[in-house]
Amino acid sequence: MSRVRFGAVAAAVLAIGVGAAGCGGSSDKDTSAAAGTLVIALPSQPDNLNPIYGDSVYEGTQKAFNGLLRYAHDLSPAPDLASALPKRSADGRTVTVTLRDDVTFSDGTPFSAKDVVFTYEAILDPKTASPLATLLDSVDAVKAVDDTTVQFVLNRPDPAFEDKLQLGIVPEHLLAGKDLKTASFNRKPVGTGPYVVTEFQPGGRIVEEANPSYFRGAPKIKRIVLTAVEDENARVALLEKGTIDAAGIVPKLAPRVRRNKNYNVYEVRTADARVAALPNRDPVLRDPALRRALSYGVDREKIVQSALAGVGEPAYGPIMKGHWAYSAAAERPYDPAKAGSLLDAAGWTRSGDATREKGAKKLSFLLMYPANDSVRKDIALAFSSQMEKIGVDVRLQGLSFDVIQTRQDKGATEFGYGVPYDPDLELYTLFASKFASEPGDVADTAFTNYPRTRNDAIDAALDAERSTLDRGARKQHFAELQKALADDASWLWLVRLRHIVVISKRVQGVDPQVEPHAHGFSRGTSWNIEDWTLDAT
Amino acid sequence: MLKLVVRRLALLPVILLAVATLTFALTEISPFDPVRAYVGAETDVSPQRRAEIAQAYGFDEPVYERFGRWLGHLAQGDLGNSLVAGGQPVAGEIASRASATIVLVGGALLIVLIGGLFFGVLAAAFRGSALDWVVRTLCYFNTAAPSFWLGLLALYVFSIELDWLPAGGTTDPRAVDATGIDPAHLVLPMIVLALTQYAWFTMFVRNTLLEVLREDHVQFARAQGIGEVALLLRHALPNALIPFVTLVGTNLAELIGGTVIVESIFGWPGLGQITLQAALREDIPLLVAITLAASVLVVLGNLLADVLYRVMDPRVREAAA
Repeated sequence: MSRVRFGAVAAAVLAIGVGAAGCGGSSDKDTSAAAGTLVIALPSQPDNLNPIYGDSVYEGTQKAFNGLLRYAHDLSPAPDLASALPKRSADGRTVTVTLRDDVTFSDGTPFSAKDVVFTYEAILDPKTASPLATLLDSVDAVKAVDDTTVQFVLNRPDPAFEDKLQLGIVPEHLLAGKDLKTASFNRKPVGTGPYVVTEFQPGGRIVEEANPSYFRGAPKIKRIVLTAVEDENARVALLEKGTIDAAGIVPKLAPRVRRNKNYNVYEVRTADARVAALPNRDPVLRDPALRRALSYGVDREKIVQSALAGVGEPAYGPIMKGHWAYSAAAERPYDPAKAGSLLDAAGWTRSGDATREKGAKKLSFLLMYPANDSVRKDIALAFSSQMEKIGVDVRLQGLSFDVIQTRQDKGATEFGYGVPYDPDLELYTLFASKFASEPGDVADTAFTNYPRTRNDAIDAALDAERSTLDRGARKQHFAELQKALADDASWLWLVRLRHIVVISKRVQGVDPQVEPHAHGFSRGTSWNIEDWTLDAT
Repeated sequence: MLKLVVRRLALLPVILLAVATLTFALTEISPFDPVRAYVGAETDVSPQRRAEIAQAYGFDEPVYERFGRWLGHLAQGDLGNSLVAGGQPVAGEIASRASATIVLVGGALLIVLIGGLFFGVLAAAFRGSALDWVVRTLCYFNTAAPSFWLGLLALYVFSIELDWLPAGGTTDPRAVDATGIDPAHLVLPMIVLALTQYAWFTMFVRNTLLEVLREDHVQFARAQGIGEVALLLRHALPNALIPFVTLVGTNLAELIGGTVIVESIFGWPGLGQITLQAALREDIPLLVAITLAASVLVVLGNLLADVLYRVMDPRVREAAA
């Protein structure tokens, strides 16, 4: 009797399992559409596709939107939705942009100046809670002069403002009056871009299809699938299996992929630096003389070799080599003897190969890095072994940023920063005194000016470079800034990465730009994805 | 029996309220900073804008106010909106992910039941033999191996090295239609999830059977000359199954908990995968809703087990009546 009843239960459970599984099944019926598809793996699925909620101006994987301007291959600003480059008033504080009149959103509605005004006002509205709001702190007002003319009124002659005209424009008619934080648009976006988002599977894939009415002509690759693969080894395995066609990978796995004949491996030059923030309140690191000495003691070439498998370049300051604002004079080349004598002069003396000491105190500090980032871990390890050579003991700890921020003044932290665009975009919030919070402030945990640097020379250079539009003068001020930062040495630049991007040989037309700090398959690689073509298998 | 069902269901709201309160309290004492999670650590957001973001989302409000507002919305049938889900309604996010998790848990439960029963009976039937030793040793090994390790091992062996099975997701990303679940994609995560519970079941079945075999009525049957196989299957097993049913209810909770790790390893777009993100980013509405949904499942699963127990065992039925 009881056995029969148990059988009925098992059958019921079976029915649930099989019934639910039965609704699936692989679909290979339409192989032609699948063959014309490019599958790109990202490290995580973006949770929000609305450009107003983009976590920075630098991420550009999805191509459903256009800005007023875009970066050309050499990163000079070029018109996108604008019909020409913007015009500035004599004082630099009024920026007038004329717009194309032949653009429609993918739902057929014409694009006009009111969409631009809506987008910029939405970002500035505190109720929107856009992470991009700080970027637009120079904007006082944005007005539609007529359907194809927009005017921005700035509270200072923001020399980096052209970079801020690259934000994706959203359609007013779909979003006006809505709570943007909870709009369904965030996952079903409608833009003017070359691709239209047709599917958003939470936790699964995002499908984008070519926009047939794109104003520069429909893209050649008809379908792009973005899938999230968190594990770095799994990304490589999926490339080898052919499940995915393109992905960003970590340097140490590059040799394995290079052996595979089906893929091109691109080493994309980046501004993406790894830098240790040395907090001004740490009992050991508070001494600028000590911090300067550490900078001389780092063999950056060697870190590139050991931690990045040779794929990268040394970094000495916030601006990358080759950038118009870069100043070679501020470089502190590797000089262990000088590091040693500076440390001796600062009172940290050494006998033999032992750790340096001042009285009873050992020269030792903590370096924290985000634990889930294997590249940062390797860089931290290489750095620590370099420091050991000059008698400095660096203790390493992999943590989450949530924990790291609670120890802001209790040790160094390895960060990633860098834009190849206008340096003002990033450097002001990183270094200016007014972005250094006091412990106990409401926003004590802000990551702006993390080492809490208060340095008059740095502030003066920063204020000077953003007060003029003259590039020659700005270059001079950036040189002063780089010198002041090297003297202060609250930030210890280590290396600049090259992003390693693997793309199937079936794809033609890949020509990466220099990339900003980013994770995964980023803007510099995908900037011209609408011009790529895909060979048949 | 009706009394039992009514009493348990009446208790359900109290349990859910307690679970919700506890979840709110736990997020309050967790070290995670929702604003940091929202804007990222390495982005240039000024302290003032951070404060505005906290205000817009209510992160700066005391936890009891947030809890009160959440209760008010709940009374109107609104579970709130999820930050992790791009601001979309929690109910919709859960609905779109539930089927993937239900299939995974249902399939794993089935494997646990059938596998546990089969190998448990086998080990009991041949107790003391080499077969019994193998089953038991594998069970001990299985109990000692953590699920993330088993998951990664399975991934590398079966999908990468041997290339027999796909390595994650519910379908091939290239597929034109990806609304369903491809059975080939289900195999690995389902088995790994099942392995988190399988050993307990097997050992439980084996040991209960051995106990029952020593009982008087089985000895009596044996004395009557009934064969060992019939003895095991017709006299011992039905009695051993009764406590087995109650274990199903308890272990359903373990399987649901196991999805957090298994879904993350296999990129399975279910509720377990997003639970971790919801916790790390202090997405309270989503976290509470998932916790409540899991609690309802566990309570109902236990209730079902208890009802079945009464149906199957006349002694309990009579005692309760």
